[in-house]
Amino acid sequence: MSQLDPADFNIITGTFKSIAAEMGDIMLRAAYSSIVREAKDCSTCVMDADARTVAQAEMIPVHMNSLAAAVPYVREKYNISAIKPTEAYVTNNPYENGQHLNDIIFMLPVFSEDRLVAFTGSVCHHLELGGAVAGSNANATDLYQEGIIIPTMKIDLERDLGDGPVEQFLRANVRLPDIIIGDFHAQISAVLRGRQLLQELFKRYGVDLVHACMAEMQDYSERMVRAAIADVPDGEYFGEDQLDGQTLDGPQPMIRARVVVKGDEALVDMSTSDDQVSWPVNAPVASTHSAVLTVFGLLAGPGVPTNDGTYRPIEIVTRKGSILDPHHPAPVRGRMSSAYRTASAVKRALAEAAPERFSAAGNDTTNAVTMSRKLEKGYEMFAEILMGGNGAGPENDGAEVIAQMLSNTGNTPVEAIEMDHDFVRIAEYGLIPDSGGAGAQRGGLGFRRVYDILEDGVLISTNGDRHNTPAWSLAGGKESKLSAYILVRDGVETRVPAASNIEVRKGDQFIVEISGGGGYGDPNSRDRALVAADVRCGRISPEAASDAYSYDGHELAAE
Amino acid sequence: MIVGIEVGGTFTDLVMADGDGRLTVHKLPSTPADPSVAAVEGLEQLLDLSGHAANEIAELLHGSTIAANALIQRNGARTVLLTTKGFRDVLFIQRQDKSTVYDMFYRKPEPLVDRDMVLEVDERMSAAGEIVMPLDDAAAATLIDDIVAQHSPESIAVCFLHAYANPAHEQMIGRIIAERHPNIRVSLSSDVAPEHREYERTSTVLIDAYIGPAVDRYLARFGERTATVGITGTPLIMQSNGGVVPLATARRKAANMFVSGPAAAVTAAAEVAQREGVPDVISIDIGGTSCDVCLITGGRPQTTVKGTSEFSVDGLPLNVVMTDIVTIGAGGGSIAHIDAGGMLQVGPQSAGADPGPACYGKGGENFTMTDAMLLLGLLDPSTPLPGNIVLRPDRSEAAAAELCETFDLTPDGLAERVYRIAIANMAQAVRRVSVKRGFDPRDYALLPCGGAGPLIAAALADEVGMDTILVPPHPGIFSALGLAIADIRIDYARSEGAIRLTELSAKDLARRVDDLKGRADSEYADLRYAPEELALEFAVDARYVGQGYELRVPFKPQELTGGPDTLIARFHELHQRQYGHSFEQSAVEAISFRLTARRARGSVLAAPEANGSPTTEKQRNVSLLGETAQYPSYTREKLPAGFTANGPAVVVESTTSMPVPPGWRFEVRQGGAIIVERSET
Repeated sequence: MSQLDPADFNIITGTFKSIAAEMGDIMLRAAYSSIVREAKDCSTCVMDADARTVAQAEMIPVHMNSLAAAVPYVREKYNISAIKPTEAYVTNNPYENGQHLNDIIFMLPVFSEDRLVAFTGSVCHHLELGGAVAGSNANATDLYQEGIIIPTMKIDLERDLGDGPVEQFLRANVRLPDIIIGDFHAQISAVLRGRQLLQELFKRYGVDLVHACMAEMQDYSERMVRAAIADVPDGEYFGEDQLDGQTLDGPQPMIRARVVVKGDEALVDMSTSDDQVSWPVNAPVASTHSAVLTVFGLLAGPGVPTNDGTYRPIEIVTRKGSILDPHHPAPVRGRMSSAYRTASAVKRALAEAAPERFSAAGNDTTNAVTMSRKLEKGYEMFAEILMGGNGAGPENDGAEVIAQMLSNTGNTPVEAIEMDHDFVRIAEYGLIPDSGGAGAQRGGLGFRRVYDILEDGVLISTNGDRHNTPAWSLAGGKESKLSAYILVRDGVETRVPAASNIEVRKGDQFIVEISGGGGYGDPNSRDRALVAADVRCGRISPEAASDAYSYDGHELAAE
Repeated sequence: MIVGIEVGGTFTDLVMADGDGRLTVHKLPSTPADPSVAAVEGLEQLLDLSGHAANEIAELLHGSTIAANALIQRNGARTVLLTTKGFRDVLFIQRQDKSTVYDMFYRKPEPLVDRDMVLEVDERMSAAGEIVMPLDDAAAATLIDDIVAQHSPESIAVCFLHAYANPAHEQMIGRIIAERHPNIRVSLSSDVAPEHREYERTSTVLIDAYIGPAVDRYLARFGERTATVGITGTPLIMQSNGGVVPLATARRKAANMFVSGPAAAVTAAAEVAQREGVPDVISIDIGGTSCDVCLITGGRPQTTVKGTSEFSVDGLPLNVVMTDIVTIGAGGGSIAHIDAGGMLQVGPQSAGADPGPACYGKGGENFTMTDAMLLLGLLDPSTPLPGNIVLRPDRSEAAAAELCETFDLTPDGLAERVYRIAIANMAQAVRRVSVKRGFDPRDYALLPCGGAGPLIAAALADEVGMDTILVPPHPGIFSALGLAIADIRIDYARSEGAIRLTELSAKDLARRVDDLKGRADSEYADLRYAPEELALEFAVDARYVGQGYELRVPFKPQELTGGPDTLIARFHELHQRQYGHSFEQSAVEAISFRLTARRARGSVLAAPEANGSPTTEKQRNVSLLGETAQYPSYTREKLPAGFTANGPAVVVESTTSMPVPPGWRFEVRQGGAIIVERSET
């Protein structure tokens, strides 16, 4: 620190952050698919010459080390320092430290006077990348059924895109070529803009100074994460959370975390988690790592930039063949479910050590609903990522219907969905009373959404979790209610598993109910005025007020 | 004679321009309980001061923060929100995303009403505007009566799904309320913000309903008070779009009154820019705690476009046409401090006006941007600030001690770094209004205003790579000045759902233009302005089919006589500029057609009078752009038009001073502005 001028450090690191943010803006605004433009399921970052993350746009936490994780595989195949300015690396391979196939990772080298000085990167969730069914394939038994695999490879932007082989190959293998290629170009626009901005920065301040600031920015984050870990009492802590089964009554894999805190470092051992499974909820190891690291990002709190320094004080252990580090080619499309359970288990272990610094579990699930149909002119599809309530904290009720900890995806406006697609109408989108756990601080509510299907031949494919295991509570609070997906046909309601592919027809209804978060503290100690307000506003039913909060309506009258 | 009254949070500023455009300025403390009190008292004092009578005032213009205050303090009207059945919770669910990611204890922006004040109505439209579930007139009337009996609202907001496509149901509710409960104010989403995306539209119409009664009462009172004083004409009220409208119109458009002072300052900047023949400028207005930055192209300030993060107030989306101002927490009072990771930071915390920067000697112990500027010689310790504040460098140095020790710096060394960091923060704001919108700031001149604007102008221009600085006359009273010269302006939008441009014939396009023009002509006719007095600017918000956010494509009606080709080509061009690529083969769809209708006001502004002859009686040491030099100082009032000199120099005015570093030169223009340019590159 001492050798760096404090103004240089502030200004140059501020520029890293704004470059990452500007890349993110470019991507969102140029994107085609609603999953990027409305749900914002993408991330951008600036990396140093060794492709270690320096700054990333605050977008999707689970993407946070995606790019850095992919680098060893790049190195294995290519001499990074020999890359040409028109070339870039691209991959979506979960077994080369990618995430799931939908997430295409794109890395562009940055040169300053012929010297490789940095990388810019983007990750984007693509609506559809081929595979056995439109949307996510709930029945996939291996990776090949989940879409096309882009191995870690080097492409030439001038030669391979547009009419070139990579773009043409990609275009031919997806159901929505215009949208996928549109988003792909948005990703490229983002990394190109990032490269241009970084080159200006290197030119202005010189390579050595900019590199010194990159290193110091990583150290800066490391210091803050270490300080946050040091505040947690030393010890060995355990936490677990359970995944839904493939069927409503099938076996439910368990995720187990052992966290050893020693001084300002932590060991996170996930190796006793259950074995890998035959359906697509296995998490590639890069996703497992992202999930664990996100919890430490949350512990450090807002304002701490997440980068390579964030990772240094944390050692992560997984077991090959487990659900959190599966053997190739196990299917991984629904990896967010196990990534969320991983983060949840780690958080629960740390909350055991320092309950005052954590919130209860939230819905902690990516509830993905994709609807598609095949028309003469091609496929029509939309996907949404729906989020439930947050867990309550020691001093706050959980936020209701909010992007959960590994994510920051928005919803898609009902009017935008209906403007773009005439095969579905949303009949209801509202909070579910009592869906969050009771507590001195109440778990945030989840919601209910009802889709009216207006045409035959619509395929719904879903992902989700918490249909079997509620969000856990803290400090004497209560668990949340469960999530459920329900198909209504001819007046008959049928529950379907969280990950399903369902053919629906005109007149059907599909109902999505998403859980809230867990409560914090004894519900009987909740401020009576707050309980009264919750009852008045319909967030707590009168019955729940009486049962869970021992709240007598007369108290309300007396007040 | 024209009088502008700008009510700010702390002070109420008044400016009077006589027939020759000479200005008289007056300032008094605001009266937050009823801002119209200080406004009218100030007016009476100003008349006394200038020796004029109220009936000499041809036009009275007024801007106020009343709307923003009512919202931020959450003391607006008792408001009920009516929604389509099944969608009561749009307001609470919002967009599901977080403004900070790594926060376990995240709290959403707090909606303006509780959930018990949101009620559902059994009706439904499709996206195409077809009735899916009809609204029963009698049942609706009963429902409204029940709601009024139970909740006794002062104001009702209505946002039904797809009302932008077919407003019939909203209008039916509006009619029922008007007939049965005429004292209740009604805001319909199809009037206030007729565009798709239900959360944003709900938020906008609720804001309108919530602050409407307060704005309405306030403006009514203001009108009565000014009439009592003897003002005969209808006062004109500042709007967020940078224009003014007659008081009666403003009472109906509460949601358009959020940004007043900053929008007025931008209007003044645009006027000066046009008059000086430097039509492309970036204005930066720097006060004690924040700075406001706005891009002005061809003399027209940028307005907000859906999808940029700036169109919200206190975290709540507000989808009306607003001057697109980026505000950051960087001003004279911004405090230098060390953050948790050991980084030197400047702001956003501010020492404010009280106790203020350490050098004010009023008990402030924090080292601020103003202290830095004092130690660098940008401020002159021998000249007290307005309010007789004597600047004390010794206090600045004392406040610097702790940070100096941490970073092993001298006070001057710290000052230089604090100044650089603040400049870098402002440069980021400049990039946000320019680069992020697809414009290169190097093609623009910098127009600094506010007390501290000129003090940072040279360093900021250098940082961003700009070659020209346009220092306007009267930079310290820019908001009030902006009122005095603003056009009358009303914006209109016509939602299209989403329609492919290629499907629109020349005739279809003409019909849209005529519809918007008809609405403008009719509203202006009510204000007694003839159609030929209006300047019309048309645009279409368009996107590639499949995209989620639109670009605004300006056009002239005569360009559409051959069909939509010009629009489509221009859209590709704009997309290319904004994102670096375009898809010539993809279809382009229109989301909204827009019209801005202005009626110019023939206001005059005289240049500040110059008397005496230019001298450089004083010199002082100034550190700027990494160099310390002796800067001779010129008194602004003594500089005649056409006067020019090379830097180093500093031009001192009553409210601010403009340091001109070596390598730059300045020239006093006929209109009273000062142009500062690089003399070598």
